[in-house]
Amino acid sequence: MSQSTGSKKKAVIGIAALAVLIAAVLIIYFVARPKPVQGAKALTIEVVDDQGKSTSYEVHTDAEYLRQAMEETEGLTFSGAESEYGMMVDTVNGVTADYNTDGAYWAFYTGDSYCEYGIDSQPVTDGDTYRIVYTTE
Amino acid sequence: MTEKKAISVKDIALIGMMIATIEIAKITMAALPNIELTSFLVIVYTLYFGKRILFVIPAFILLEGAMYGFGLWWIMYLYAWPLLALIVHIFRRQESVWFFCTISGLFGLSFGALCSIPYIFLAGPGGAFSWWVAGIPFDVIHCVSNFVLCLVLFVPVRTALNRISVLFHFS
Repeated sequence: MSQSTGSKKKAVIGIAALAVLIAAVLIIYFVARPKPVQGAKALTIEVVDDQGKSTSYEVHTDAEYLRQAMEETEGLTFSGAESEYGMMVDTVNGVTADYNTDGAYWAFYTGDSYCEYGIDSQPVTDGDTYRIVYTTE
Repeated sequence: MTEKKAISVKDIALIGMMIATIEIAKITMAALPNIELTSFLVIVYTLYFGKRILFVIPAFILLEGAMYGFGLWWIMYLYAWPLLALIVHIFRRQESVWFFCTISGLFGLSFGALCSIPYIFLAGPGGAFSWWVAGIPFDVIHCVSNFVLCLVLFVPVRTALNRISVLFHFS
């Protein structure tokens, strides 16, 4: 009877000790665990719509190409047709540029220079500004 | 008049069996993250076969290195498993199953911390701490699984090892 009580006591002590230690290391884990770091590249994306209104977005990203950076930009929406050269953007923030109707398109600039590539292959560089401008011919 | 040898043929056979069972248990459970029987087997073999564990652990560590390569993890094995055997040897007079379940659980919980020691020299104390923290969830799994496996297996394995010890006159 007393042996059984002693065994139960040892069981309780053992389990309690492990539970306390597990709780302690889990607290250390949740305090000190690796946290996601902010993207290493700071970019500015400016959208100029069909009314000439400009909206700027700041994004921190690890993206290599503009499309992923745009996808990670909060508040910026865009869509278009997929092609072998990547996405051909026709709509930005709900504004559609229809080339067949009035020769309108979305022009992409890095700084003041026209982007040489489509958004899927346009490299992005830390500190750069990318402009998406509604343009008509 | 018979001369008592330090290690007999029977001992060598037993040591071989111990190494084989540890290695087979390790390989068969390798797919389960940090769930292993090595800790449990080191504990019971140290309790029941005493000094023979001094041959078993180095052979097991060498075998592991030969099979998987002598990487940094292998350095960790050099002190982690002997430490467990040493602790069990110190407390060998304990008879409580719960006691050894707790030892096994504590060993599992501290395994990551033990393995982070080489990183103190490679990456500094901060690097070693980060390495340990990143692996804490696995240490918790290791702790719980070691405790449960020991709780489930200790009594039946102890019974079997007692029979073997009597049958083959191991002391």
